[in-house]
Formats: sequence, structure tokens, C-alpha cells
Amino acid sequence: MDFNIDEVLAQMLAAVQGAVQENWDMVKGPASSFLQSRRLRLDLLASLRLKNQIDEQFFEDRLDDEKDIMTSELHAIAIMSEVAAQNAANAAIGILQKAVGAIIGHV
Amino acid sequence: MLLKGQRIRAFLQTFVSLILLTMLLNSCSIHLVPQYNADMEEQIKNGAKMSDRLYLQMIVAAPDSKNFSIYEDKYLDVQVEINSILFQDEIRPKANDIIVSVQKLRDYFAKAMEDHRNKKSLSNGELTIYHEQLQAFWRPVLIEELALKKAK
Repeated sequence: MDFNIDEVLAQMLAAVQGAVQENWDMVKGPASSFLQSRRLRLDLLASLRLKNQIDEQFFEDRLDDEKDIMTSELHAIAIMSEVAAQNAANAAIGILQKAVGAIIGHV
Repeated sequence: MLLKGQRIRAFLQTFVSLILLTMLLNSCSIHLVPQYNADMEEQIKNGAKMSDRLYLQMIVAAPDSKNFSIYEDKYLDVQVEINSILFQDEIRPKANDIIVSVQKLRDYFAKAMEDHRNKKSLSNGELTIYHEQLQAFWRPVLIEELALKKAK
């Protein structure tokens, strides 16, 4: 049995693309949920301030806290991207493992 | 005769190389993120639920029943839960991003608790904002753990 490196590389690339696409859905959902909930919170903050239910200092402090929320959300997106990268790398290694395993099986 | 010996040697070399490559590949998988932990997911959900309940209780309480002293124990319960999650993440390999999110949650919760302690009582407007923002700090922490479930 021949070991066709070009074919193995093409399969590895396809596996990487598959893993990335699959994980894009994983990132897209939470990212849009973060944006949507931020919009609602900012609306709420503004509305409570306009009704004078919170004072100016409290309003500004909580607005400042939104930066920390965003930082935390970006770290969550980073984790999802790392999971996607890990899945892509391991899918490619898996293809190579199978190809080498098949060769050994025929030796 | 010599040619046959060389061919056998070449075959054995290739065979051994492939075996070694397979062993190497079998032990080789990339780890960029920590391993998913089902207990951790439960603990995060539980912590989020405890802080949700605490703030909802304070919001529905009568204006004269929103004093910090009434809720101090419940605040401490949530704080202990957050500290425990952070402690476990700190000893988890490759958990740097997760640690940042939990630290942000811990710091925010401590700040909200301190504000209540200093003011003695909070208005419903203040409690509502703290409630919403706390949920927003819990969300990425849970999403991070759930993302690990999908790691292969």
C-alpha cells in the first residue's frame, strides 16, 4: 500500500476546515447573546438614571463595570477559539494517525 | 544474497519507523484548554443560582427589610462558592482565560457586597442593576466551562 502524502495532507486540511466551521457556530451564538444582553443592561441603566432611581455616581461606576464584563466575555470567546484550534489540530493529527496505521496494517 | 539482506534491513527499518511514528502520534494530541469538568459546571450553575436568588430576594423584600445584616450570611455563601471555583481553576492547567473571568466575577461580587454593607440598604434600582450585572459576570464563566465540553 502506498503512502500518498498529498492525499493525507488534503484530508488533514479538510479535517481542519470541518472543525473550524463546526466551532464557528459555537462562537457565534454566545457572542451575539453577549451583545444583546449588553444592550438590555445599558437600556436599563439609562432608564433607571433618567427616572432618578440610581444616582450619577452609581450610574458611572456600573458603566465602568461594563468594561470588566466585556473583558470577561472576550476571554470566553478566546476559550471557544482555543477549543476550535485544538479540535482542528487534533483532527489533522487523527488523519495522519489513520494513514500511518493503515500502512502498518498492510506491512 | 547481499541484496536480499539489504532489503530485509530496509523493510525492518521502515517498519520500526512506522511503529515509532504511530506510537508518537498516539501519544500526541494538542491541549490548548483545560479538560472539561462536570462537577465544575454544576458548581458554576449552583453559584449563579445562589446569587440570582439572593438578589431576587432582596428586590422583592419590603424597603425596611433590605438591610445588609439580614443578608450577610447569604452574601458569604455566594462568596465562598466563587472563591472555591477560583481556587480550583487556579490549579487547573491552561486555565488562564477562565481564571480572569472568575477573578472579575469575584471582584465585582465583593464590590457589590461592600456597597451594600456601607450603605446599609440598597434601593431596588441599585439591586436590579447589581443583579443584572452579576448574571452578566456569571455567564462567560459558565460558557467557558461548556465550551470545554466540545474540546476533542
